[in-house]
Amino acid sequence: MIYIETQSTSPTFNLAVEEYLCQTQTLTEPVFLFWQTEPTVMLGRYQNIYQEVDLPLLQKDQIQLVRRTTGGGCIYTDLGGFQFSFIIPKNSQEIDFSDYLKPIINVLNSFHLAVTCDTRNDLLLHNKKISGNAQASRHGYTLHHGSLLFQTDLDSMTRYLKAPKYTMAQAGIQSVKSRVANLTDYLTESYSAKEFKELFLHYLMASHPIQSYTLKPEEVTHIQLIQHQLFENPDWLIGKNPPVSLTQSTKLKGGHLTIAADIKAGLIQHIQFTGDFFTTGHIEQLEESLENCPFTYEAVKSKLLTSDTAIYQITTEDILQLLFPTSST
Amino acid sequence: MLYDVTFPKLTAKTEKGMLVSWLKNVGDFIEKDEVLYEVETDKAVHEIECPYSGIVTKHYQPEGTVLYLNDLVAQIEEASL
Repeated sequence: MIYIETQSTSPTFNLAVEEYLCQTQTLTEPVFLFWQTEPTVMLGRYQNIYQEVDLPLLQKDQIQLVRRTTGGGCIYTDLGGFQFSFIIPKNSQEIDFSDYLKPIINVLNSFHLAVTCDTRNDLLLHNKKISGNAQASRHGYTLHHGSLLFQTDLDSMTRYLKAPKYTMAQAGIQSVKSRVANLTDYLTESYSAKEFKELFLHYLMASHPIQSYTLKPEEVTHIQLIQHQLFENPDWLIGKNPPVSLTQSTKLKGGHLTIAADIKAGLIQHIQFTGDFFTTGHIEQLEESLENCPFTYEAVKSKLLTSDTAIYQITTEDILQLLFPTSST
Repeated sequence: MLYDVTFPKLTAKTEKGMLVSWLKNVGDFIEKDEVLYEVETDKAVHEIECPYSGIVTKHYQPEGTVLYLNDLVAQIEEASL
């Protein structure tokens, strides 16, 4: 096995390293990565962005939002957590999680942590989740991606993974909200994240022959290109989003208001305002002006503010709160 | 000649998955063993390769469909020489 120290806490750079190794197939031996990220919310490949995260809140708090290539659920990760990746040439269609989880469990056992694996391939300590795992087959390689909670800010995790309060009928795949814990809650000795990482790699190397590999400058350049063109591309982040229909109702001073919208690839396809409210101008004109508008707080706000149609005693902010409820509402 | 592509057995335990993305549209040419579509099972995204070379003439299922073992997925017209 080969170990690569990516020397980066950028989530998109690290995801690009995974993709680079799958795409270029330069290394035919299994590769292991063990990395950390700045505060980030990371979506699974085909998850619904609108269901999993509170976009205005992430923007307000400047939390990075990225989409990985593997399946599974949305996670929050920061410098108190670790990500691990195995990149292995695929020798069959079958993806068996246990092959990748065994070495991780063995290493954690070396820390005197009695870790178990559940049926969803999560690793548990005293029935609390400390690691989630997901996979993808990419360009003839199997990519196994796992997260490990060491000393992650669990308050932030709860804050940023809180789903908007939409009523939705959609085709996305929901995260399983399960109880989680940090390894530091159970470790008998006190380690910094740096010390834990060094010891983790030491235990892994004790049971597996591992060579270190340093990325060449030209490889880093190629990885940065993938980082920019794929993982930092809004089309990747938003465009892979499954179609979603949302219906949201409220009673306001101006009457009952229900907004029904179809959103595809991050754009409003159709939107309808119904209720017992009064308008100046035609509500259909407002609806038409919102078609093909990006489904973001700022874009919708801009359209609403420039519309000739107004709803009596229902403000632009009322409509935005209905479409983009924040965790404080 | 027309060939039907069916949903294969992915693992010993997995016999269904959601068709999450078509990577070839109707009318596209595809080589044998090139990726035709992607399926997500529990936490894993699988690239599914096409067993034939030819033109994709039909998608039997839209994205978002749950596929079961041997379900019809696509139709391929073998390329004439």
